[in-house]
Amino acid sequence: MVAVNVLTQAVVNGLLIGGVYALVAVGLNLMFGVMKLVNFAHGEFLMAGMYVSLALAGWALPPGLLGIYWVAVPTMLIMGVVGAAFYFLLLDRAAKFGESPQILLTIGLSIGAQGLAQVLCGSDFKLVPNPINGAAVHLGGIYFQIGPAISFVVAIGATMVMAWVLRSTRFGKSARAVAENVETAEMLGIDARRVFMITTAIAIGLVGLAGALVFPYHFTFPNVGQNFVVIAFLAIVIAGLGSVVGAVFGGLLLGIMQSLTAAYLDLDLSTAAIYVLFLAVLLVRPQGLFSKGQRTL
Amino acid sequence: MHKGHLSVLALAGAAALAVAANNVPSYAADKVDIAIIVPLSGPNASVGEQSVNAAKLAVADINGAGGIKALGGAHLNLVIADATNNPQGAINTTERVLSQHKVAGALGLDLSPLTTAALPAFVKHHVPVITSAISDKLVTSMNGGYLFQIAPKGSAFGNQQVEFLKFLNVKYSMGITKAAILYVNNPYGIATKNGVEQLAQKAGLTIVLNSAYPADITDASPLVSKIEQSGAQVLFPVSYISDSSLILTALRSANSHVLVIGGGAGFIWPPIGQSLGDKVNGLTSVASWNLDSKNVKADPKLVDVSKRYAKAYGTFMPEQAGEAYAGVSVLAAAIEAAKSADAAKVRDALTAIDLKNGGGAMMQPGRVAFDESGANKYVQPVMIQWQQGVPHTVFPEDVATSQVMKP
Repeated sequence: MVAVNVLTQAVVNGLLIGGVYALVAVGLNLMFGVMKLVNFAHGEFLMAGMYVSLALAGWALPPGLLGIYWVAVPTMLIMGVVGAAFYFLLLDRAAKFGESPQILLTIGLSIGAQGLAQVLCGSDFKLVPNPINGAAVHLGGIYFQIGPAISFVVAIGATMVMAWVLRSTRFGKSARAVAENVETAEMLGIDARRVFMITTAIAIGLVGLAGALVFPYHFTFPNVGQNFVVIAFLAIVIAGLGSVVGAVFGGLLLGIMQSLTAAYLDLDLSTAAIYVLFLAVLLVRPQGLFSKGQRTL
Repeated sequence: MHKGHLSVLALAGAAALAVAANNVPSYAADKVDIAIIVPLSGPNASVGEQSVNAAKLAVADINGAGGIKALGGAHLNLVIADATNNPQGAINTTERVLSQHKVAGALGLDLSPLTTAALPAFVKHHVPVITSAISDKLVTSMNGGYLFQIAPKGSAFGNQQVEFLKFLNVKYSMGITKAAILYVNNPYGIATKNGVEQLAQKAGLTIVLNSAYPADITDASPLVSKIEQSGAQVLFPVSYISDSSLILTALRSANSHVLVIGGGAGFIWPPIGQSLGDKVNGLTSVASWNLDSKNVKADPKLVDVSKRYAKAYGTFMPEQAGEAYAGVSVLAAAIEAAKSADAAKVRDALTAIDLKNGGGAMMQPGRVAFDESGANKYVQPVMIQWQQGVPHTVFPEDVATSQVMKP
């Protein structure tokens, strides 16, 4: 491999895995931005999305390279409904007691969901044989893994849609108003609980979509969410808490950082490098690289 | 009460005690508890489940055959505990189990980091533990004398991988001289890597890449880029299941022609075969046990065990399960030899055991005895190759039952 190809391949690899981090991070940051809630169970919703996708793929798997992706939309919708139920059955009730019970609830849910998945689905690693797993496009000495490439494109597309929704739709305006000040928004006639419910449904739907995009090339198992969500948390802190577009940049930045560290320093330092970046951002720009110091949905 | 009646009662009581003392072995028990402490939650839960499934099978077989005869047919009772996925959890669980149960011995904890962490608890409670963890650092004169490693040492894995490459080089004139070693950065990875590294150099291979990587990676593309840059012709990866799948997938994406000789674990467990489908055929790896090695095939009862495992649990019997079945059998044989369920006596019996038949003969080459550091004196790892979706033993020739296909 010549030097230029090494650099290009490292950036491509970083961008593609960064797209997955971004898609996980967007929902996380959306919930934080609107609801001021850190959802520690977000990784478990990714895991649930992967299991839902597996179940759907087991039920029917159309032929063709992209056949497996038919599960993406149903999974997103199912997880959206799960998200709405999550809000009404748990978060809304916990909210009556303040922010801390909500956060503790998501921590408990995270642990409980892993145990429940193990009971319901077993602890085995599951990956359905499919043509996406290992497929790649080769261009000028660089290869693009198709699965991660699709995740990247969808992550960018979903974020653009989310940015438009938040900027241009009635719901988006309500969400931004609630994010700014719940009491004032309610005095203006905005139903904050309805906004929270829709926000949770969208966030969980998006992470469910991420699950549907990842499951063709990554094993599904009860703890799989932890592998991704820790990096997603770092991404949103580095980018700026509450910024949906920033979450995408944060995810991509961490993906590239990991890949370049592996290529030019040491494979074993690739995870450590993103924590160094995380600490550096906290020290130098604690509000995040893409934040103006306030929530910027 | 009349004085005469008291005397009669005392005599009757003494007679009853004398009869009981004559009829019951030195350690009277209806059941003998043995513990199995393995990860049953977290990312390695499937490893623990394989062990527990096979241990249950072994206990059922031993009890079905009359239990521990030296203890009047006492049945084995399995105390199952979750070692969790972290060393502190493993210590806590081991302490709890050994404090709450009077066990004759234990199996555990499957993974080298957990076993290393929990070992002092076994020493403190004077309970012997049979382990399938492979780290060389577990079997030293400093281990307290209560650990018995039924699996081959990690360094022996590396030896077998390099010997296998030499065999392939001769058989197929492959001309492989440049090797890459990638290993997960934990005691299992480091032990196996050390063996490969030393032997590869002795065998005249040039190691062009020798690198650790962090556990729980989400993408193996950077690893594969490193391999490609290094110009390696053969890769010795030491990985758990999720990483193994990502590495194999990324190699395929990069159109890499590097020969992969897996370091066990993730390269031989059922999910890797299920996920890759036909593409898994030809993949080779070292293994601490395989279901069709000569010593297993030589005994119809052991073949039947692997068939019953497959029927009960829906997959072929993987290495962790084979080792757990053998481990329970060895522990039961030690209890028989000790004629006692006292853990310290069972430990002494384990140091002297030399098993050539029964469930213990599951371990290749069909014989189990431990040296003074607790290492299994006779065991050597085997090389497997996936053929028709199942791992077949293809090397070394004294335990192989299938011909190797050109990888």
